[in-house]
Amino acid sequence: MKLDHRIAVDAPRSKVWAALMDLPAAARCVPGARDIAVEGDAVRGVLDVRVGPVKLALAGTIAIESRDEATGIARLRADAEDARLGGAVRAFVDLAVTGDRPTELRVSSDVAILGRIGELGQPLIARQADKVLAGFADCLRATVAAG
Amino acid sequence: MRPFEYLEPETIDEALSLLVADPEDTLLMAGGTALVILMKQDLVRPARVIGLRRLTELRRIEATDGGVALGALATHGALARAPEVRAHAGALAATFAAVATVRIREQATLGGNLAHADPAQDPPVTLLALDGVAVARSGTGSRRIPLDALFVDVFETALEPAELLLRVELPPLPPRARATYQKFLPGTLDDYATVSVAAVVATDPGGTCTHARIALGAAGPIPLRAREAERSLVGRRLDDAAIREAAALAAAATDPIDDLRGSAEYKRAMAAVWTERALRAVA
Repeated sequence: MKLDHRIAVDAPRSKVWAALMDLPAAARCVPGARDIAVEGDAVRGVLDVRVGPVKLALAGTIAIESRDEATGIARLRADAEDARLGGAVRAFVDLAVTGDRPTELRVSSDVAILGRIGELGQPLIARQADKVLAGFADCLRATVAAG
Repeated sequence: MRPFEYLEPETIDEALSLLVADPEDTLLMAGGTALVILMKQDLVRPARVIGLRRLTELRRIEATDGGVALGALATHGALARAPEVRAHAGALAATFAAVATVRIREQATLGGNLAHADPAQDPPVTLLALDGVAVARSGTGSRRIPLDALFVDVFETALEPAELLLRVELPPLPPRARATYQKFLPGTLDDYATVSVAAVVATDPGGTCTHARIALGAAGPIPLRAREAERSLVGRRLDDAAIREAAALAAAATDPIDDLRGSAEYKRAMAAVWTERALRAVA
């Protein structure tokens, strides 16, 4: 499943880039994320997601696979499993930072959903992703404004 | 399905005290038509299920002062047949009669339907257009939640985990009000709607619209009111131009998803078509 989100941030590009590349801080900006800890090059944590009566606790890691500040492009990889329902999510997340004050962040995700989580259906999963990204965008704006 | 504790309280107070003990891991079950499927799919794993079927007072359907109160445990079948419902709005009885199949209708309840908050369901649409208000109770008291504030997102409501839905109250309709529910079913009769529309309008003796409600189902993450479309009708005659304009505004208010019942674009187009048909039925 491919998802595409754009976030406009009224801040210098270098600040937005720095906020994104501080992976533990960026991970804490994801609504529902908890137990964030650095583990080698990766960040480990749990993402709580709730869809009505269905509750997921996605436990896993996110890491930067590649980055190039000059072009403003980075690729993240996330792997998480949910022990409650039995299922996993694997995602490649491409970040592209363009412009400068306002800076635009494009988040293009290629998400594979394995196991029972898939029974929720793609439209519902995409909606949850929209909600998470909207919360992340608010937190990112607050972070760069404060920093 | 995983093992769980099953409890059947005899009174509302007993149900609430069981619920408040561990609201995060306890689920209420009315008819069970939605919940049991989620449990069988293993998507929901409550430690405890509180069966509500002994709370017979919540099955009551009563005419109130010009309105009607619908108990949360009334089944769709009972609501479709109730003289009080037919007397208030034939379109509401028809809405309950249009849900799924007879087996579901005799088991599924009003409260279960609302708490499940599936945006493709029928009853919320007509109840929204009739200005329904949900009444819920928790350990600390009762509160009234207008239906347009009850639905928060797909499968999510404003109900707190320790709250029990008691009934839906429908206020009196304005003089000369007409209501309709239109369900677009291109596949089979027992399917979910591709889109559905409820319209309630009233006109003065001269034919000028004095009251308009338009609600849509399967057209977004929640059953929604098309408020701009409603506003566009009030103070006008319900002629072709007014109806077409309202239908376009209603379609613009939708936010459908692509699924096996059609693309978002198709559903938006159908929202206009079926809003137009609904308004012509009551104009």
